Amino acid sequence: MDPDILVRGLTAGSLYALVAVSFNILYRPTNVFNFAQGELVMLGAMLFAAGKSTVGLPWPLALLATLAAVGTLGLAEEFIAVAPILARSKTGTGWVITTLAISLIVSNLVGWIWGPDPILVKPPAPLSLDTFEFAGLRLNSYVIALAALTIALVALIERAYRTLQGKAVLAVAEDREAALLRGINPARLSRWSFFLGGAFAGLTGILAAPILYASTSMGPALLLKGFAAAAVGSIGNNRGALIAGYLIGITEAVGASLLSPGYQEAVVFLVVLTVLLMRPQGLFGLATTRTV
Amino acid sequence: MNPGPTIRFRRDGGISRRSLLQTATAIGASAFAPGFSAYAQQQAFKIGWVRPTTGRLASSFAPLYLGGLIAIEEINAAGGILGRQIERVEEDDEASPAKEPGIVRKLREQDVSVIVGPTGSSQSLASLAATTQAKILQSTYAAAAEAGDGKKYPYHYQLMFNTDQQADVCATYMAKTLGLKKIGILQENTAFGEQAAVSTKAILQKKFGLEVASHQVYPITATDLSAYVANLQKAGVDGVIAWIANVPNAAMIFNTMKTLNWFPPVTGHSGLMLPALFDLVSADAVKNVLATYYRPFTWTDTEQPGLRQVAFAKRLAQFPEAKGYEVNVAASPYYDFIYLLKSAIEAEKSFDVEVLQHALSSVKDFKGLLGNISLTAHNHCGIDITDVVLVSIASGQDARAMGCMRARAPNQ
Repeated sequence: MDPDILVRGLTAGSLYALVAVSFNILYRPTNVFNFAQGELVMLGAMLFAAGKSTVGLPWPLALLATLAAVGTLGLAEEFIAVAPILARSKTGTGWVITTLAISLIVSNLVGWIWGPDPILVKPPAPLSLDTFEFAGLRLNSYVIALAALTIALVALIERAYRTLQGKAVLAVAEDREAALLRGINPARLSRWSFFLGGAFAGLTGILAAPILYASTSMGPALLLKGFAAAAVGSIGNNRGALIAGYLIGITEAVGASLLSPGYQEAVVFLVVLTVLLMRPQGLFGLATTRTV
Repeated sequence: MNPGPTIRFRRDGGISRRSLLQTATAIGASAFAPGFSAYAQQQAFKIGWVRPTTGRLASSFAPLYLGGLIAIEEINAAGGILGRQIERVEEDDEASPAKEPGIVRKLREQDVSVIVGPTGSSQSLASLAATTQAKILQSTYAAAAEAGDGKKYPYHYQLMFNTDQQADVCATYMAKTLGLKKIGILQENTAFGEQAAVSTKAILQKKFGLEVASHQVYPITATDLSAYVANLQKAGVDGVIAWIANVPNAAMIFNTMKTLNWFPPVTGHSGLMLPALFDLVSADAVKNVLATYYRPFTWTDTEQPGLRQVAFAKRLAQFPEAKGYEVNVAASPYYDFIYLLKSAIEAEKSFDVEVLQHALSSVKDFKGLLGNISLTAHNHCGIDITDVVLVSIASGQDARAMGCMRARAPNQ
């Protein structure tokens, strides 16, 4: 078997895991899936590319400006499309439509402003996409850094959940009313989660841009498999999302290398379907009972 | 000028029965009056203009209509068609096939009998189902060979090369001109990619007795395409026919070839010629890449592009929105369709759809911008395959390119 499959799987898997984690950040305190998440990833890439190439900002400044901008958009989305729905009913699902609407608005606006042409984003020096051989694998320094950063970011987020604020988020995720009785403000946490989830989506876009190029077609490409990684890894579980992201990435790479045309994509969804049929709560979730 | 019969409205905006009857009588009487034909001629000739003005594809599809706009501008400036100015009736289809039947119905209600657009094979085929039934003359930007079938769609005129012609030119170049035996196909998993790959396989088999050495199908949303390129290399193919229609995918593929230090001859779709690709790949990565294009827009060491095409390129340069899309604008069928329609109307001295359909279906050697157009009741594609050639995509960087000109490949 081609050893490069592993490299391809890790590259794609890192991106899927990052999208899945950005879903989780929003989901935990709100129980809301943000269907605009793919477009926030794309917006992050486009803003960063524009900041770097058009405005000529240095890498760190363009990064911070993009995170702030996409995070603020996430916050605005919470105000406009999510909070009013949840204010009416905590179990309402109107956010499916409203977050999709935000997705369409962002996609149209970005297409209108930047057009369809992809923009080249180079990795920050000293990282590069130039390949070298190591132990029979064809690697490049950016892919190694991407995988390492993905793991580090997941570890950092997991650590953040051990802080007081993080525990408050987990408490809200567990029981919103009980958390409210303990003096936790779920609305404030919801706003923060949308800001951080937006910023994280922006960061994912920035990290994906050197590999996929910044373009309007980025969002849908990452949304579906990122969502699949979140579901397979158990919704809300970031370590699960990381492992599921790599599982999907490697499955996809194996499919592309070994299977006949037409089955390559199907095999990814076959794996996702099999996992969810056997473990509907995902690989790392615990089965729960609910009184009805 | 005779303003024609008018309806008198009441103060409340309604119409009295008497006024309505008077107007109807006046219209009936005027139909027999000598001035009626002059009156009708003064009415604008409405052409439905179907394109996305909203949605993800709005900005990329907008320039593709510039050729049609230029044609209308030129014709109107010269006095219109039989004295009637052309008026566009715009409809936004959001590039969604589901919207097309409703749009056709809406345009029909506005007495539109000719439609330009939509763009895209799936959008076009969805629209054609409705326009064929409504007997509306139409030209769409659709590469699917099916769209040029005059028996199936008698009111539609493709006027651009289709997937069968592109496949023929690419397969012939690989098998005959280069004499290659191990040819691979790399296609995107879209309707376009599927149709082009099926045609390519059939032509290689039928014309040259060759089986495809490796056939790779990639999803356009894939984050990595190196596996597909590596598979072609492993299969030992010495030429690749690539059906790729979007720039990020093309960039990933050519950059992978560069990483693998593998530069087989590649032939493919005109979408590979977009200048945006050169921002993403180095020139040496595309040195062996050729794409299908129109002979009149090409040059060789001994031949220059057509004068009319050069004038068109200069006109196009005046539209800032065309920058970067000149090839796609030039390859659009809309300029030729408007002029072909004008020619048929003037020859028949009629705007009647059936008369025009009959006239258009027997056009011979119409000198179009894209080549000589000949149509029959069965063949509504119109473009002669001798006008379809392969060009070097790297020549887009040449000063002679003028946006939409390219260097023709040797022996083309």
